[in-house]
Amino acid sequence: MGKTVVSKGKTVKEAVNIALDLLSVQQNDVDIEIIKNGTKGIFGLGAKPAVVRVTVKERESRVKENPLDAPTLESLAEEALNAEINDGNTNDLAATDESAPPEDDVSGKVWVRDGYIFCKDAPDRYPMVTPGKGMKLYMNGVPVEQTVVISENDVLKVELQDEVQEPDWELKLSDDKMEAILKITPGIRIHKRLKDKSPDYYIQLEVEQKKIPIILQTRLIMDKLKELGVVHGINYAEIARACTSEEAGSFVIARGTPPVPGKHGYFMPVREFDIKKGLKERPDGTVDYREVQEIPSVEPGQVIGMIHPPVPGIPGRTVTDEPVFPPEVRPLAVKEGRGIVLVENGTKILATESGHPNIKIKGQSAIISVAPKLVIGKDVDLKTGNVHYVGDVEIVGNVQDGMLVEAQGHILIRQNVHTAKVLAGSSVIVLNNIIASEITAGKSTLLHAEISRILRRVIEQMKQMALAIHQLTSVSAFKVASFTRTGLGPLLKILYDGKFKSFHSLIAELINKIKSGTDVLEEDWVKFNEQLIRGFLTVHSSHLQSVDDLNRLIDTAEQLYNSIRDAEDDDECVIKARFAHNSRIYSGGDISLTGPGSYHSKLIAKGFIEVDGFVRGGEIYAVKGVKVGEAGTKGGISTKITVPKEGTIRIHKALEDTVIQVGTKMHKFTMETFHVHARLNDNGELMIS
Amino acid sequence: MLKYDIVHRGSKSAVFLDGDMDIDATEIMQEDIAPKLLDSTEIELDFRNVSFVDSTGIGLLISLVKDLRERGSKVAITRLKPDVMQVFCILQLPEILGYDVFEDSVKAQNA
Repeated sequence: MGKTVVSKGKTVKEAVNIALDLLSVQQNDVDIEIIKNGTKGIFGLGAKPAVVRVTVKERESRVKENPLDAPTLESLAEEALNAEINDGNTNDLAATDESAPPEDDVSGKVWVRDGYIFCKDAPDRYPMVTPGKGMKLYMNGVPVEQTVVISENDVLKVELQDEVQEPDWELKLSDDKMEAILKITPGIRIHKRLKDKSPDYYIQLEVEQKKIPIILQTRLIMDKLKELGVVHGINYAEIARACTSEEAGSFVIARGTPPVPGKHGYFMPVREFDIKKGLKERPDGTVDYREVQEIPSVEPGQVIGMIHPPVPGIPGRTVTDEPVFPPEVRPLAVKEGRGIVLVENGTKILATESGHPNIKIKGQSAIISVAPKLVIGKDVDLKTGNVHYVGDVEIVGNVQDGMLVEAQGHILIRQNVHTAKVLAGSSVIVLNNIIASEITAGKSTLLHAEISRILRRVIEQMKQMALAIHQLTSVSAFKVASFTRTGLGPLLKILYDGKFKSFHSLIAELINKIKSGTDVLEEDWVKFNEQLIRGFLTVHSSHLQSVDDLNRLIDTAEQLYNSIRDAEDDDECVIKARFAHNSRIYSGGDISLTGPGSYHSKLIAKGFIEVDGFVRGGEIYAVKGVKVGEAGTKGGISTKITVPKEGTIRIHKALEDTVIQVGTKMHKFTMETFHVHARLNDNGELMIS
Repeated sequence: MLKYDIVHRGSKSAVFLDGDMDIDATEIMQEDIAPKLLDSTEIELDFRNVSFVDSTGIGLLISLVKDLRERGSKVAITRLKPDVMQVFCILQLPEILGYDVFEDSVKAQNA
C-alpha cells in the first residue's frame, strides 16, 4: 500500500485536489475513496465538507479510471451529443461511466439521467440493469434481453424508435354540393426516451413517451379545395380548427348558400267556414263545440276569400358556385264550383248563391263552391217525407219517428231526433237530444270501417299466399302445368290445411260483411264479393286459375281498400248533440255531447269523443281519445270505454264496474275512482292515474 | 303415370312409388293403393323414384295419410328427393301430417 491522505473540501473534487497537492502526485496515480459527499447547504449555511481518502497506488497496480473527473464527464457528454446528431434522434447512446454524482454514495449503483445510463463500480457490489419493454439494449454491441451486470467499462446502447402516425384526411363534397366535408384523423409523433432513474443497485429501464401532435398543412387542404373547384362559402377558421384538431372528426369547411324557398299561391278565406276549424282547440287536442249553433254561410255578393299569387324563392349557390334553384312555385288553380264567381283578375271569390261555402284544397288545386242550403221550417215527419239533399240541410223542428234525413253536406237540427236515421257527408249538429236513433257523419260509414279492418288482413294473407305459390313454382319438382287443368283449387285446399288455417273463416267473415251492405255499397264491391266467393269459398271449383288471377284479385282488393281508407276529409266532421239515449252514433271525426251525456248508446268516432256529462251503459270507442265527466251506472248494465293502444281515456269520475280498455289491456273499476287518466306506457302496460 | 309395388311383411307394408304424384295418379292412389293398405298397421311410402308432384297429387297424399292414421296405422314417408321435400316444406306438410311421418326424410337431409 502507498501513502494515504484523508482530506476535506467544499466538494469532493476540492478535497481530492488538496490530497493530490499534499501527496504531490497525479490523479492517475492514486485510488480515491469518497467517505462523505459534501453538501452545499443554503447560502453556505449548514454546509458539510466532502471527505476523501486518497491512497498512492503501488507501482505495479493497474491504471484505473478515476471517477469524479469533470473533464471526463464533459467529453462524454460531448460524445453522446455527437452520437445523437449523427444518428438522428432514433438512438440514444449511453456508456457506463461516471457523471456528476448524486449526493448519496453511488458505489455499485446504476442510474439514468437525461437519456443516458451511468454506473459506478464498487468492489463489493455490481450494478444490474434489465431492459424494458419497447427498447433494444446492446451491451458492447451484443443485444441484451435479460438482466445484466454492468461495469464502467461496458458500452451500453439503447435503441429507441420514435413512432410516427401521419395525419389522414379526406375531403369530400356532399351529394348536393352544398357542403365540403373534411374528415380528419390527426397525426401523432410518439417521442421516446429513457426515463430518468435515481441510483440504485438494480434498475429496470423504462421508456418515457411523449405524444406530439403533427399539424396538418392547411396548404394541402387549400390545394384540394381548388382541385375540387370549391370557391364559395369557404370557412377558413374551420379549416384551421380542423388542421390543428387533436381528435378525429368531420369538419364542414365550406358551406353553400341554400336557396330561399318561395311560396305557392294559396287561398285565404275571409273567415273560417269549416265548422271544426272555426273552433278553438284545447291544449289536449280536443275541440270545444259548445259554440256550434249554426252552419257558417254566405249571402250572394259576399266575398268568400282571396287567392294569393305565388311568391318566387331566391336561388342559392353550391360550394362550387353553381346556382341552386328553389322549388318551383305554382299558383293555386281554382275550379269554380256552383254558387261562386271569380272577380278582380281571379284574385277574389264571391258567392252568387246563399249557403255554406265548400272549400276543398288538394295540393295546388282547389274546388270552391257554395253548397245550397235546404231549410225545413218545421218537423220532418210523414207530411214532409224523408229528406235527401245534395247540400246542407237545416231543420228548425224535430226529426220524427221512422224518418230519414240524408245530406251530402252538413245537417243542423234545432230540436230532437226521435227514432230516426240521420246521414250526413259532413257534420251533424243536433241542438237538443238524440233518442233511439242512428246518426252517421262522414262519408266513410261504420260498415266501411268494419270492412276495412277485415279486408286489410285478407289482403295480407292473399299476398303471403301468392308468395308461397311463387316459391313452389320455382322448385323444379313442382308441376306448374297442372294448374291449367285444375286451377288453384287443390293447392288452396292444402294451404287452408297448413299455413292459412284462419283464412277460410276470415274470408267468410268479409264476404258476409260485404253482403250485409249490398244496398249501400257500390257495384265494385258486389263484383269483388262474387270473385271472393268463387275464388276462395268453393275450393273444388275455384275460379282462380293461376297466380296471375290471384294477383289481379289482390290488386282489386287493394284499390277497394284504399277507396274506403282515404276518407281524408272525414276528420273535419263532427257530431254534436246535448244528449243521446239508446242510439247508435258514428262519426268519421269527433263526437261531442255537451248536455247531460249519453244513456245506453253506442258511440264510435275516428277522432275524439267528449262527453261533458255522464256515460251510463253502452259502449264508447274513439280512435284518438275519450274524455268523459262521469262513467258507469250504480249496478246494472255495463259501461265500456275503449281506445286503441295510442289513445288515452280521461274520466272525471268512474263508477264501480266501469270497464276501460286501451289497446288490448282492459281494466274494470272495483270502486268509485276520480280523475282517471288511462293510457299505455312504453312497455305496453296500462297506466291509470 | 304413377307405378307402384307393394311388399307386405306381416302387418307391415312398404309401397314403392315410381313416377309422378300428380292429377293423373288420382285413380291409382284412391282405388288401387289405398284399399291394399287397410290391413297394415305400419306403412312405409317410399318416394325414392318420385321426381315430380302437383297440388292434386299432394292433396291425394294428404288424404291417404290422414285416412290411414285415423285407422290407427303408423305411416312413414321415406327417401324423399330434396326437391320434393322442399315442396312439401313450403306447403307445411310436416305440420299438417305430423313430423313423425317425415322423420326418416328429415334425418336423411340432416345427415
